[in-house]
Amino acid sequence: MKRPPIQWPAPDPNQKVYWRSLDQLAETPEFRDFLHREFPEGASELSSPISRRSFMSLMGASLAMAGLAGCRRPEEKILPYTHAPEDMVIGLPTYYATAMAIGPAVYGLLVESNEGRPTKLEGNPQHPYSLGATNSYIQASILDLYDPDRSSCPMLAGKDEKDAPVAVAHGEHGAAEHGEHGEAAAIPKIKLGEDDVVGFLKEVRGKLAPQGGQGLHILTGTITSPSLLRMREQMKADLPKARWHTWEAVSEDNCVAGSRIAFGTDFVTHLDFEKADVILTLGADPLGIHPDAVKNGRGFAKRRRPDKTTDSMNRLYVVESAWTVTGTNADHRLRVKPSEVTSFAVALAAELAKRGIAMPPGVAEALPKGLPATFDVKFLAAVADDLVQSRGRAAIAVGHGQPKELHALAHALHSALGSVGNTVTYTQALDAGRPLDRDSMTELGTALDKGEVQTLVVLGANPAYDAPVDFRFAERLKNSKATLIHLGMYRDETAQLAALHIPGTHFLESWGDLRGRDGTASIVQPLIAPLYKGWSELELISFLCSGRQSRGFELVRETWRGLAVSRMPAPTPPPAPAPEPAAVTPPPTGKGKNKIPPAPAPAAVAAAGAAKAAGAVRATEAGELKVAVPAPTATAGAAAPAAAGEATAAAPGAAPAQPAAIPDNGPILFFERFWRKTLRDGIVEQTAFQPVVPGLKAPEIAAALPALAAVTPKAFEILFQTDSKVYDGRYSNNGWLQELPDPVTKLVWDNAALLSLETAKALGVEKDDMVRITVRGKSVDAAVFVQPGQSSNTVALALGYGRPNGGRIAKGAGFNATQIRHLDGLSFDEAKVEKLGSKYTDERDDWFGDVVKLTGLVSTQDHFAMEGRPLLREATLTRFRKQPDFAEHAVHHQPLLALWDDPEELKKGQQWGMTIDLSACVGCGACTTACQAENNISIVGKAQVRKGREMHWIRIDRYFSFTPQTFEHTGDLTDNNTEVAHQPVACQQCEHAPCENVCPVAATIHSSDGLNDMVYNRCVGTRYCANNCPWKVRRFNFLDWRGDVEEVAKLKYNPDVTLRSRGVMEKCTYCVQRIRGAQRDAKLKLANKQAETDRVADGVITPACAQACPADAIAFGDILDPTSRVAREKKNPRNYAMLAELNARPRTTYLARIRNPNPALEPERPEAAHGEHGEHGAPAGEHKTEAGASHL
Amino acid sequence: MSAASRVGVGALTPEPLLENNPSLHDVTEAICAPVELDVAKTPIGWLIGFVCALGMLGVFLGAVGYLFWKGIGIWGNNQPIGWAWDITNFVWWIGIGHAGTLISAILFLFKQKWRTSINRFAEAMTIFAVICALMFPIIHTGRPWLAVYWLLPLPNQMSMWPNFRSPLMWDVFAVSTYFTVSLLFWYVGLIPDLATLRDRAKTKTRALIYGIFAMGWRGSNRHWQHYEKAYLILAGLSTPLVLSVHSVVSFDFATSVLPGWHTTIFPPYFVAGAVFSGFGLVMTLMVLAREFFGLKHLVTMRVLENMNKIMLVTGTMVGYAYAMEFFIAWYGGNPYERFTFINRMFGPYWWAYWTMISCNVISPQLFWFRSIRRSIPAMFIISIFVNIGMWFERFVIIVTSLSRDFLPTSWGYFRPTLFDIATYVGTMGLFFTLFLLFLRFLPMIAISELKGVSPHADPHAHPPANGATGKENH
Repeated sequence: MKRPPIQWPAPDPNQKVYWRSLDQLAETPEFRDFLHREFPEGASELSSPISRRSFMSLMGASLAMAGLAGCRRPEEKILPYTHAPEDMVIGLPTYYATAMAIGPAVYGLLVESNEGRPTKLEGNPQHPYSLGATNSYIQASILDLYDPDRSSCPMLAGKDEKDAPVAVAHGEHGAAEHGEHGEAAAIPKIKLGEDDVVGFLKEVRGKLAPQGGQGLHILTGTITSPSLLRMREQMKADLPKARWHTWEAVSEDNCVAGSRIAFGTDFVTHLDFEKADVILTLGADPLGIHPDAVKNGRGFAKRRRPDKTTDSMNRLYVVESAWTVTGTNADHRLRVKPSEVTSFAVALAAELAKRGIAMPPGVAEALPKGLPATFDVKFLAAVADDLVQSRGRAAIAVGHGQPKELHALAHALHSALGSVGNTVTYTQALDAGRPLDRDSMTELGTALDKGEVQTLVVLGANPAYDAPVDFRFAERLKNSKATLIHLGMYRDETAQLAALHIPGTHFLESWGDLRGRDGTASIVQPLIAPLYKGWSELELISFLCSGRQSRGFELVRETWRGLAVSRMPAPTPPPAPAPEPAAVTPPPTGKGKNKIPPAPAPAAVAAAGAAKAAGAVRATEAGELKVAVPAPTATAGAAAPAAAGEATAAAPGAAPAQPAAIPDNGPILFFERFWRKTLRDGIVEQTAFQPVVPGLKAPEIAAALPALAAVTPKAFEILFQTDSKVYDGRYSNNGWLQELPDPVTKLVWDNAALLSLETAKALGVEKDDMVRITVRGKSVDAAVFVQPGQSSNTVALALGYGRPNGGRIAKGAGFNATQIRHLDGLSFDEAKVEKLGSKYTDERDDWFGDVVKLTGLVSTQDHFAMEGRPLLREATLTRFRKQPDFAEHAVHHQPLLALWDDPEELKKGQQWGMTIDLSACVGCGACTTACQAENNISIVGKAQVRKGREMHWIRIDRYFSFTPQTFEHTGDLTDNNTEVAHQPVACQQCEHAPCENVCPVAATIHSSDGLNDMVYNRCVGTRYCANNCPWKVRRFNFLDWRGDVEEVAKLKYNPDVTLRSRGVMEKCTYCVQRIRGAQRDAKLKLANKQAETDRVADGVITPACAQACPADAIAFGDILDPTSRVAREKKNPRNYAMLAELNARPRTTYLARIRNPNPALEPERPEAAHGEHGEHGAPAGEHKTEAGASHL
Repeated sequence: MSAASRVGVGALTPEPLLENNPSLHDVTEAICAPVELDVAKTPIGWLIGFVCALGMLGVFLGAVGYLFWKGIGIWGNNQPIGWAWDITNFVWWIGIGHAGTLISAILFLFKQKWRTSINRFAEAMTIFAVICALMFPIIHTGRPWLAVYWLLPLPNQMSMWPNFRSPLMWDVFAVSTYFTVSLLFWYVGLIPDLATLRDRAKTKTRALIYGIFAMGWRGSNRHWQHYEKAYLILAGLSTPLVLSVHSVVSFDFATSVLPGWHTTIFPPYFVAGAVFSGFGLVMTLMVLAREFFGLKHLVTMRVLENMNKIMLVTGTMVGYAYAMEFFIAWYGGNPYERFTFINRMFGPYWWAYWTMISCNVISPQLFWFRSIRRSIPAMFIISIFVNIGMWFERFVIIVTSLSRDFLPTSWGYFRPTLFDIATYVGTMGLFFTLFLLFLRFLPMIAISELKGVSPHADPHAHPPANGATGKENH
């Protein structure tokens, strides 16, 4: 729909009195001071805590005072993605493309912004690593932006803000006062102003610059930002002796090192799950915690959802220790100790060689012999056979925690199995040749010990918490007397040690850029001015390099200008030199995004610019990107075209026929157009690396393999898991993630020492018993959670908990695994576990009024068996082929009759329905978090979750099956005979909703389009509806969950969704706000004669859960429209309604789960176990409700 | 006296309703005495009881005040157990409220004259129990300030009616009707006695207050004719209500889809249980009151024994209903229901279930023995068991059914909080406060009716030989 732009009159400089009260406000010295600092800098400096009222008044002030101080908005344009870029229409959200990084992973995002507040993150469909989907981390990261615990101002030797003597006026302490920072603790804790930070940094730089940066050490996480890489190169020029280190608690070191063995250089391995027929994971979690997990999930799920009996499926073998999301999706899972993964892989390689797979020369011979093989030989043979049979269509995923030689072996296997180029592709790595994190940290440690470190700048890393215990960060830092400068969003453990802490910016507040693992670049554009006095990492590094403040916006543009201009269409004679682009910014005007003339750059100029691009200046700039993205020194020689082609490729459609105009501005205009397009699209075109087929260095692999013999199983091992919620601890102050149930354990607000049934029995411990885990003399006490199906004699402990200084949410959550994590045992290690005899008592428990004072771990799902009930229906592929509609026949019941005729209104118009494909669902939990973000769902805290009062509108039920395929409570649950299945459950939107009948005040009623509406205003909270809901999806506000939300945190609320008061029932609405929004748009289109009907087209409405789902397991739409996806899925033979026999006629139905076990390992069970069709004597028609009435 | 002769006497001549052959004046005096005591001479026992009751009432007000301030979360209710002690207490109190009307109305219609010594007492108990019960539908809601009037079909500018399909809506009508009729019934029965108190009043204030409520009763023939018609009509109106109100309450459960709730046996089963529990509490209180106020000759052992017989019958009916539920759970072939009932017996709430069975099914069976039926301590203890058992019956039905229904992933466990307990105990405070005030300021036994069944009122009666029966009571 074309909407005419709204024209605001230009502000009249002579008419200052726009709002009288604001004019008066402007007279106050505080406000003048504010204006002075605020507007010229282009960064807001809103004091904390920000009330909505003051936020709005400041926004208003910026409008009214445009003539007084100039407008900052046009200077840093951010562009909407799809919606008209004219002006924001109040009440309508706008969407902007941006990107975020989590360690090595980069995700392209679309961010919903409501009146200047980013409120919801969605995947950018064009980005190869999000494909429109997201994961829980992404969904929840919006909460971090508005986290009231964020650091709001710089701190000198800061402890806690509350401890600090408050009144130290700006400039009161001169630079000389903190000349020596040898004893950080001796410095009074002082709150700083912005000027002081600059002063401090200037002083630091003033000392370092003459020595060429000697003594300056910088520590960051994995760098995926081209601009940051550019700054690193810049620093090599400006401060050549400065050293740069990286540390990531969940490191890709082994993958990189494996690639270096196998190929001699850094390549990134990409597994194509969509193409793979057989997938084997070796201690890996490619569907759960993996940089590619979102993409992998999509590909994997595509091959897991047979519709017809002729459809094929992939087969997933998982060899792992503790459960991962991938493990829960396995067709066959082998539980082994973490170290035994190695012996399995070696044995597998030997088996493959035995089966005639041609290994690279020398590799088969070099395989270490005599490794203990404690695992099931039958399993090994079956996997080997399957891999051989599916040569060229197999993929092997090796976990980042596995030794580098194993990664090298996997490369060899991929090559031998012919997977390379099919299911496995390689691209060059972004920061190729970087030192490994481990080496980098060792180097830093040595430098600290030698006293070489004068200033340590830590950016976006938290070594004081997550560096291994034997690194002794705090101790070494103290001994070295180095000055620690910390930049981060939180006053975390590292900030506590810092001489100067600078608040960092959230990625939605600052400019940046990121490149995905395949090289796809995105610009990180901010959606909101920094809420606090934040610096971005780029800005800090740039300051250290140049000694002056630069804005992230310019720094990022500088990085991309070279590339953009190099893509200008080619050559005509070069005209006069253009002005230096770096200095050019569009003239500030009042309007923001629309000031660049829409007319394309003139052909002559474009050509001229392109010619210049070939010239010296431009070449340098283009080269900058190349420096930032070093080409791999490919041994195979096949990689070369990739990098070469990338920089020189002309952008297609880059306006060959453009009218001539302003000659000199060609490159500038070209760049601006490139910039705008890039911002709008969210990805930089043609930045993905070309896949290469690197040459395998067989001798090196063969030489490395014997080292695997050293990985011998220990009597008892510990596995350090990356947490599915808080990652390595960086999200541990995020309430949504803390309260998100773990995909397997369903634990919330804690990690735990996970033990298998056998091991727990052997140790004599049960849930909540405290154990002491000792690794090389270091120990940590943790509570036990018994997890059937984990490898025995293994304890698994997730990273990211037990943070001493993580914030209010993180406080008290779980047990700190880094206390027993060593630099050479980052993934698994030998451990000793002793029973302490005490129980886990949690200080966070609120026992007010409780008679029974419970404490310990909390899981949202205590019961894990299905009790023989056909709730989650699944079958093997073989059985599905014999009887595709087996799911419908899982229950036989009498004909279902209703008291009333169906309302006519439910048979016409658009009727909404949903299907959830259990075969596709991997159980990751992204839907739960997405729903929480979209629908303003509160968290309730651990004590309330223990009472069963969590508020999630969509939950994922997880069942353990004791015996394969049945989920019956037969026999004993053992570690060896355990499978997992996931079933997302939200409101089923029943047509005969049991909840609706029983509400005395008609607060839950049926809409004419088939929604089970919840009228919050009308609800008095009898809770009868929740009692009468067979699916138990209704959620009651037992207390005022919204009550103590701080003002800044309120900015995150979705304005389209009511906040629920206490005493009110709530539940899934199918995201009714999105439905009504789409219907409104459709009606407007009809009214404007832009459409012939006001029907909403299929696919326009996507509920938050479906949108986030990496596996695309959730389909939503009009069930009366036979062409809609949901209607087609409801015709799928796998379709069934859970508890259909109650005749509630749920609008949400499920597609049964299909597994594809290897017949060699799991012989097809007799079908009588499921009930053969016809045996029960019920004709097929009887399973349906009355003819014509059923929408199932 | 030999056992045989005692049996003979008991078998052939009914025990008198009043012992010691009191004169009509004696009856008036005995019943009015506690009401007409000087303030200074208020029995210390009553005062202690009243202070305790007031204290408990304070607990109730505190607990409910805090509940309104904070929300339902201060209770132990959770997901999936949306109802717990709140509705358990509601059904329990409503059940107790059944005895009064049953005694007053049904026994009146059946001309069971022994009812006269306990009917006033039981009716008062009914009123107070229903008041306690009525608290819960209001306070158990999340937003009681709206529930108070949104549950009523009041015309409003939104043209918004309550949902008449909801059993909770039916509850509102059933319970409020029951309360209104019970109150009227009780009040109409009180009028002649209020007039007696008015006439006996020694102060003007008493005369004025009792006079207002006596509504000008003069005891004329016309008055009596109207009175008796009105009483009969109200008895006729009340009788179906006794059956309907608890049937409707049982619909709260029976119309749901929840296994363990969704069962057609609930209406008769609930009514029987209500009468059972009502008699239980009447017995508990009566045994105490007749001892305390010296009314043993007016509330005789024969009355108590009859009540015990009713408890035996209704207790057995309840036991039958429990058995029938199990049979149907098996016979009906619904696996969810089958699970629910096995879960009741052997699941995490087994203790509640077996408490219920012991108290409700086993303990009243002792009343088969005449000696136990006529033993004051035994009947007191058993009546307390019945009260406990009937509370647990509601708890078992509500909480165990909710705690484990269709989806095992959403199973839960309920644990009460101090506020659950305080609210429950607090309603007892409300009950006893009202009840003690009743004992002190209103005649606890219907004077006029009792006179009607006294030997003096029967022109053909021969005064029984003194001490022929009831000696064992002394």
